[in-house]
Amino acid sequence: MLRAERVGKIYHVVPRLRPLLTGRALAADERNRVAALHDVSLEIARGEAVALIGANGAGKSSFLRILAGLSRPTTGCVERRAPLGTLLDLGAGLVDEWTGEANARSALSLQGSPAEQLVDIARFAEIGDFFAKPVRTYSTGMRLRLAYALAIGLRPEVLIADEIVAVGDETFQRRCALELQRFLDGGGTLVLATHNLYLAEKLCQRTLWLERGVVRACGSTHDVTRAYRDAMSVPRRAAKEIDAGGGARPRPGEAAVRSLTIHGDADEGPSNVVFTGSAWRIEVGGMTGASGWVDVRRIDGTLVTRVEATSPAIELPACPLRPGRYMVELCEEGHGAEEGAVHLRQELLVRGARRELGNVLLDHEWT
Amino acid sequence: MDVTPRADGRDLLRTALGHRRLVLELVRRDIRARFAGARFGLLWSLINPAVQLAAYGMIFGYVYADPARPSGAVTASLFCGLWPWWAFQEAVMRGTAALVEQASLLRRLPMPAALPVFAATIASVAIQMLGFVLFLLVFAALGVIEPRMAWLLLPIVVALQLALTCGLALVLAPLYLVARDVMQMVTLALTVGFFFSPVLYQLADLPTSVRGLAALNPIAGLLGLVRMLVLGADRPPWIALLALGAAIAVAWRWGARLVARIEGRIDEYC
Repeated sequence: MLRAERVGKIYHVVPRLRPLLTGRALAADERNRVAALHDVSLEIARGEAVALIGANGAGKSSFLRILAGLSRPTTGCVERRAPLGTLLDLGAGLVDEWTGEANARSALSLQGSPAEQLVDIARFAEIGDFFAKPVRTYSTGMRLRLAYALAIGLRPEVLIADEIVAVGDETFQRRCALELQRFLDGGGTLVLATHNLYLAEKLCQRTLWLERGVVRACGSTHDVTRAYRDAMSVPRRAAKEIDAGGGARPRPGEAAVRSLTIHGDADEGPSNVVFTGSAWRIEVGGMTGASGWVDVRRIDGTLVTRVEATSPAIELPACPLRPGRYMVELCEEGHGAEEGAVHLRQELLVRGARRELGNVLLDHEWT
Repeated sequence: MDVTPRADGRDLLRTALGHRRLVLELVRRDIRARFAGARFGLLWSLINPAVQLAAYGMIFGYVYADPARPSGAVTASLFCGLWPWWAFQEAVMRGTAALVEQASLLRRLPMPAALPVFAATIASVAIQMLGFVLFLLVFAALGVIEPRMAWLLLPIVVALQLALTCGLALVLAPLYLVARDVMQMVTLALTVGFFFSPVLYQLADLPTSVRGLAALNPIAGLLGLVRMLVLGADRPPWIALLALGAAIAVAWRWGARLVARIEGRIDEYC
């Protein structure tokens, strides 16, 4: 359906006239080159939905433009076997002085779509009377709604979309996501670049992770987004607080030696690898304050759960955590810090093959 | 190694004709966008040249009046020189800017890069020619210019003008995309070109020693044809017509090559 083979794209910082005049590629000039993409391959079958993730500047938009045939790759080739629609550079191409309707008419005509779709566009954009007013009177959100409505009005077989769900208010965003789902249910093929991993997980079976123009990972969305999350998350507190070794770090004037140990398998020795669904144990020692607790946090700092530390060992029967990287922290009240001081922190790796979304798996049963 | 596909002017013409509906839509878009928000809209494209024509007419018909020539004939000759020149000037400038101006559209909608260049050129020539024909009829009604059957051949001259301006724009638009100095050069060249072309004068007014050289200017052939058809003036010299034809052929040949080299690369420059 759509195939990119070893695609590379090089931009020149200062455009050079000579290649234009002579038709010859310039010899490598390292200081003047920015390699936006290098050796990216991707094959997309009919009806498949593929997400493209990566930090800003990873080359997502460049790759989408090349897939869509809007940009020629410097190396490699792209093969397209179906008419495609694009949701790129939303809002570009709107004429400020024209009404929404005039813009819509012009866009439909440029795309070769029948004028009857004007009604659909007006309905989808949901901007009411503003459809008959000049675009310059629109709010930013309304402009984007109109642009989105214009793009989806094409009803293409393949849709290449860039960051579309960052558009408009929440209701509109939900409708966009719903519309994409409907497009996929109708057999559409989708390539979606997004920072919204939840959306990628919800809509796409496969994900390509780009990092500085190179494929970092490509595979099932769950595996790739998990790896991406782990790599992107920045631990909540400064690194100097972390004592990954599990050893003690007594405060001045304290003799107590605290300890925090994770036993990934409840019956085995210390190990910070736990499997989703299996029993594990946390052992603490040397608590001196009035009360202490153990926090389990996601690597980005989100608190998953807090367990009161009343005895030296906490037994956890079936680990409900989704696979990924977590932090286990030993905290104690009474040292002036607002939340209580974090004394020790251990990394926790949860492994497993579960595909559910969210932070934890609630014990459940379908009836 | 030349990495771009071979292309010549005929391929480009075929591309434009194959996408004629899209080109027409782009032309309409161009014209509407140009006058959007202006209360008098298209009227400005008549008022502006009319006032300038009146000013030139006053200077050459009254201030520097030639007793051998009635002021009506002077105005008619100026009209046949100025209006096609304005069309040429505007079309070349708009055509040169077309790729940069429509970059956001080209980044969003897959289409041959030559189309916005054609559209901007066609829109400019169309607007100016509309004014030209309107004023031609007014002058005929006022008895300044005598109507003739040869006017029916004017579409041929318009086609030649379009061919020349499109060709030049095809060369200049990719250059402007890569080097923004090009627009300054174009503006300068047009300012100088205005005085070196037989716009305010006719080829026959020049001393014979430079007439041959001046005839090599493709604009001379074009304006000569307009004056021949509209006023019944002498046919421009063959060398002028040859120069016009050669300029069109060379411009299209080069334009096709340059456009092919930036095809699909707009995002590298804008």
